[in-house]
Amino acid sequence: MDSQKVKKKLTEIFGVQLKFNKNFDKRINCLKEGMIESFIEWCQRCKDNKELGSVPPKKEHKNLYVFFRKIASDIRVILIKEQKLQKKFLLWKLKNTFS
Amino acid sequence: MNENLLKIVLSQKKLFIPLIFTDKQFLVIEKYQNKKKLSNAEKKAFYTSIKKKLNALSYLCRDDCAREYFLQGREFMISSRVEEAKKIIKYYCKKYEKVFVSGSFLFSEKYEDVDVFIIKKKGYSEKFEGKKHLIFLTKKRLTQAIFQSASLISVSNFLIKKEEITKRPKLSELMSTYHEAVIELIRKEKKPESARRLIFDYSRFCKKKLLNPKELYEETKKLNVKIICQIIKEVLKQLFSRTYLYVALHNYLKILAETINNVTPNFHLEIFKKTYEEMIYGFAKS
Repeated sequence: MDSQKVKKKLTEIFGVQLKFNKNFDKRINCLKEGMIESFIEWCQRCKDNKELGSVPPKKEHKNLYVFFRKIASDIRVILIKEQKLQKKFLLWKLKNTFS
Repeated sequence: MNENLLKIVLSQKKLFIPLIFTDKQFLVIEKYQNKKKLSNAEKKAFYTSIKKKLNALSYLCRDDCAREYFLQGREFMISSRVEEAKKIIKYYCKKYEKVFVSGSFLFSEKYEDVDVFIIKKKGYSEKFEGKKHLIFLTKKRLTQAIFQSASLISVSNFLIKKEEITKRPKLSELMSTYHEAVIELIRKEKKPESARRLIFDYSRFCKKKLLNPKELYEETKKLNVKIICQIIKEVLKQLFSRTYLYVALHNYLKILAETINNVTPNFHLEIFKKTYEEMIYGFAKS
């Protein structure tokens, strides 16, 4: 599955407010098909409130709720959920970095 | 770039000019070796032609680079793996000057990949070549605790310098590592990396001992959520003053309480809350 298809699927899950970091395409293209499927399933589980996340300790990030997962030995996904003043979760960001 | 090769080339000018390098190219090599700034034209000549020729020549030096091996933590190693590690080093030192092999490949019957560390001048990156996990790092990064620990059980083609490690993590970094470690342990992950990092820091700061990869592997196997909560308390108490911890954790607890009301599942957040409350108040608030 190419990165554009993955982006489309994730946008279907989280909505159009989802943002991707600039390395997303590059990293996704390194993953095997099975890893991509498991990654998408995990995203769906995050959306359905079935995964565990945490609040970043830095004060300036107190409005964020962060999910993380290692999807390959050198790729780690961070999914950030932003809660606005009304305490509703509105924005999702997705980024993957080297562990 | 193979430093020894550069020295050989520079000391044997007559042998290489004009058969392999031109006079101008030779001047560029001299400037590069003396760390002088190269003009754009010189950079182009260096990277498009000279470097490629030097790389080809470095293949001829391969036996030289792997003539001597340095073993650290030999008592933990499986002998047949040492020989395999030497072969891996011999292969990679054709292209890179300084290489070392470390990780579970050297001491454990079961292993997932072979960690091959390669010293480069710039940058950090990782890639896989079959079962080999190549980690490219600079000499400076090699001084970091995690790489110093890796070098405690290693086979290398150079003497790995022991460095005194003084850098300590920030409170926010330790807290994030703790949160991730708890989640990893609840998820029963096969390789809980954050939990591993935390046990490593605990040993480093509370026991003043740099764990080698085998010790780290064994300590990580024993971990559970209760132990990790105890460990973070001890690390934080060791590294930060009571007042600083009180202010920082007190504020964080307020945010945590709000999040607990808004988020499900939240049982893991209750674990964080209990740990931090016990740290600053001496008991968990109901």
